[in-house]
Amino acid sequence: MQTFSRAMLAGPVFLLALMLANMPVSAQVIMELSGEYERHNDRGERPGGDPPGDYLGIPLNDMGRMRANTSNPTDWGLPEFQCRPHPAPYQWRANGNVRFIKEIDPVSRQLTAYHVQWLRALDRPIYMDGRPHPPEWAPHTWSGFSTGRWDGNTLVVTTTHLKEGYLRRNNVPFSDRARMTEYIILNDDRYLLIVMVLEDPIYLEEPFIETSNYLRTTDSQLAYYPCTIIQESTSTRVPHFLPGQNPYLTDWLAEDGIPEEAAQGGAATLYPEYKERVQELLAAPSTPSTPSTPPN
Amino acid sequence: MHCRTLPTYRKPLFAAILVWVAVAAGSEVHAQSAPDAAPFDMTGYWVSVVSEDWRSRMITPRKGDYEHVPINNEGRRVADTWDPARDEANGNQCKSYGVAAIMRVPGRFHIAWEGDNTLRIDTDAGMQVRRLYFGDVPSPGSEPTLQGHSVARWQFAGRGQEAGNLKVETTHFRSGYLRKNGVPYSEDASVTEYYNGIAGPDGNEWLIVTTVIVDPLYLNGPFITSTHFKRIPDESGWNPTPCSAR
Repeated sequence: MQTFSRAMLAGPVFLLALMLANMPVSAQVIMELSGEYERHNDRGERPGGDPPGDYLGIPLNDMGRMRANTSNPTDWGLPEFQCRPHPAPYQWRANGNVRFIKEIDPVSRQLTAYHVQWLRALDRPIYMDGRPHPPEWAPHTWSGFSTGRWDGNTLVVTTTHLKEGYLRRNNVPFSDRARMTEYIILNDDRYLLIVMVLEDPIYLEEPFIETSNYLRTTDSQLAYYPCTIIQESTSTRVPHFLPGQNPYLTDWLAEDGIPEEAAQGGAATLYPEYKERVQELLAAPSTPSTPSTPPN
Repeated sequence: MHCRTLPTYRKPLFAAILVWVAVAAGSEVHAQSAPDAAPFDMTGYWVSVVSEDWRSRMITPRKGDYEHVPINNEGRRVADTWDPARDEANGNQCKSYGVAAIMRVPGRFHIAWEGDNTLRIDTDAGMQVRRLYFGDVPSPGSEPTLQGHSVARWQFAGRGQEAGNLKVETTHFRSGYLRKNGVPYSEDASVTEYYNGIAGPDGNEWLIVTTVIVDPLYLNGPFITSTHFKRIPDESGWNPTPCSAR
């Protein structure tokens, strides 16, 4: 009996020693995305979205700025837009949780796709079976067409065929020429990190990168989100502003102490050296901004 | 089944050989130093690209602005007493450059190995130095510091062991500010970071740092941020500036 016990000990002792030898420098993790996650950004959208004219941190070019300045976020109340799902590039920063579901081919038992679902969104498949993207002339959708591949511990997702949409609820635009690449990483099997890079030759000076954080949960569900169109306005106008005539773009600046130039966004405003420019702008005598007057 | 037993005097020798063989085998798998074992290269120069939280990072937010921080009543009370003049008078200009906040401060970062077990991070903003220690390095017994004592280890993914991230846990740090306007974190907080490297679609390399702060004194729940840095070829733009309380 004693002999048997010592023989049995040899294996565990060997494994323990092996573990000890490996511990200090590294550890191994296995990544499995399926499940629910709770959104946990330090900065999500403000209730109602950012104010008109707030393009802080977005590398908009002149065309993108003009497109944003002439839009009117009240267009969300148009019957055509009331049940519009969030576009994919915005979705990670919208309110609500997210769910990843695996779709497995019942015959081959290979992973066909991940399906990603949010509160205000359609089902978004990320195809993992190597299928090609559709031809350029194929229809564009709010979520676009996504394919994914594993690069080590990172799910890299490429999305094309997006409809024109918004990066912020104040209608910061991206065009239907935009291409989105997402990097989805699950750290410690708990902290879901989404890195979204949007390239848009029409409205951006350089790719826009944004990260979002979620926490894995075991007790959350996605709420049912039926959408019904109602008459929100008696106006027959399509909300918009003509170039140079949006009076609401600067109302919020004074409260937050933001220079108007910085609020316009642009690639230069994203880099640390721009802090010096901000100090110059804040030190300069302020010019009164145009008071808000409702359009006729 | 008949099992032969080892003579009594050989049993300790056998056990010792077994452990030695196992350790040697393990060492062969991870005999590499921390730099050699790295699943991605963090060394070099990096610059913050402030496309998130611009309002709270590129300018000093107004007093009482703790938007999106899960601050509790005590944290709010402390934040509302923020007085940069007092911090300057007390030599506390660097409170918003501590370990829980420094990676969120816009600037350039230089990362380099110091020997086989220490990754050093220098920042130009606030001129801070962090050291991430690999292996079993005991925490210093001295007074807590602004950057604390950081223990790091590579975590490898299940699909092909060549990929992974860096996990860093920091203790033994002084209290500080999560944001420049005095939103506090305490010495009782825990700071855990995950460093991930990605290759962008346009050829840029990115370093993403996810920071998880749990502070039973000032926060109602974990405060999670992820901050991205673009690799730059050299030290161009490196602009050492001292801490500023304002």
